[in-house]
Amino acid sequence: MKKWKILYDIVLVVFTAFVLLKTFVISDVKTAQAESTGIYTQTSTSAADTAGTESSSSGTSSGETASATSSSSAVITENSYQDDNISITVTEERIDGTTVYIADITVSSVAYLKSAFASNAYGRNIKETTSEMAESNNAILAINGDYYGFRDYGYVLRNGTLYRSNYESKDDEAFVIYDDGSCETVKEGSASAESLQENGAVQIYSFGPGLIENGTISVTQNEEVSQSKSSNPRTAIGMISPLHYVFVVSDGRTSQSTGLSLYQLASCMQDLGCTEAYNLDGGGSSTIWFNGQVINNPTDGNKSGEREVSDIVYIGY
Amino acid sequence: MVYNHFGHGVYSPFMTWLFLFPLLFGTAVYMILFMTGIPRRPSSAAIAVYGSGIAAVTTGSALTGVFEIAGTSSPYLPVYWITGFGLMAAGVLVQYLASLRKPHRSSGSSVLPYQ
Repeated sequence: MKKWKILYDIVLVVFTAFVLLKTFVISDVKTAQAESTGIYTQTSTSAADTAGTESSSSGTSSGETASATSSSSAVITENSYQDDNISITVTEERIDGTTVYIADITVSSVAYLKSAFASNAYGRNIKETTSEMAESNNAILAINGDYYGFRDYGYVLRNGTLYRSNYESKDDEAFVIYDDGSCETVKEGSASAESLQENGAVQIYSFGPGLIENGTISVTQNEEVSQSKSSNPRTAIGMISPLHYVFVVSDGRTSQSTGLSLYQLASCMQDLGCTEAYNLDGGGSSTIWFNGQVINNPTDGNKSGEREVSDIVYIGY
Repeated sequence: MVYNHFGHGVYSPFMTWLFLFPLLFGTAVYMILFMTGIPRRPSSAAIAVYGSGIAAVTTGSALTGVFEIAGTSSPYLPVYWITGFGLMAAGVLVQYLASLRKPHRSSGSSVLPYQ
């Protein structure tokens, strides 16, 4: 029986090591479920052209495509970016003992609100920092996304392409951005990802919960993201009206900034005028990038610095 | 405690109550057998198989706790629960079969249990 015990212990240890590596370390690249036929086109890296230039695209639903090149007529200051298609203003405020970074964004087309994957690949344990992804995608403004790659469930629809359509619980909430620029929070059990895509969804994020729905705060004062400390660095996306969005990132877990609860975050989004708002991955993931640099103070509470994540939401061409 | 310290106040019941698996399925079971005066000590094979099951469910609980605190999941976790409880059941079966093969001593014996 001694041999059985030794053999069993070896198998248990090896299998456990495999499970841990598979969960946290080993990259697993996967393919999309359904390709995009919408308004997102492959961006070109050709020289700057005048703003508003349209590139050809097949299967466009709205007839409007993202300009293939950046605008040469952009006016850029320390806190703002302005061209014919994109207007961004970034402010820094103190809310509930926490530094909060607010980006007010107006775009002429939802195609300028995009998502990007780490290493430009979809799958598990494929990670880069928000700044690395923002730089490689020439983002004007970027925030961390929903870190889809850390889970095996939750809708993933990016730039019109569907990657994942399963969910863990029918009450899990996803944030949907449609091709007309409108947004809403949906329960994943109420509509399939395929049906949302057919109805014009171009981006779906699945972290949650929804913060504001139809102008009303939809979290309680005691609600918290599953397994998450109440005061945290936070990242949120909101819509004031179609094509008018806000990205909000708060610091936290430091002596200078304690962080926000979900209700405080929702209150902040409501005060900004959001009619729809949604909580993205927070904690050490919370990062905002603007004008070529990270402007907040990312930390996981133990050490400062960006965390590698699987995706970003960004504004760019 | 160590993991909870680095978890920023995040807890998982699978991590918190991890100790109950060896306590309830191990120590408590043996104490019940001792107190009820079961005359036959479990065979080494039964103990080995049953103990392996406890190890599996305990490891599975620890991993479940780690993943819950981290906010992720794994499709391999059910392997621990199925293997663990299966081995525990197998250990009980092994002992039962062993007790059928060899009759235990009479009730008048002066031999103490677990000698």
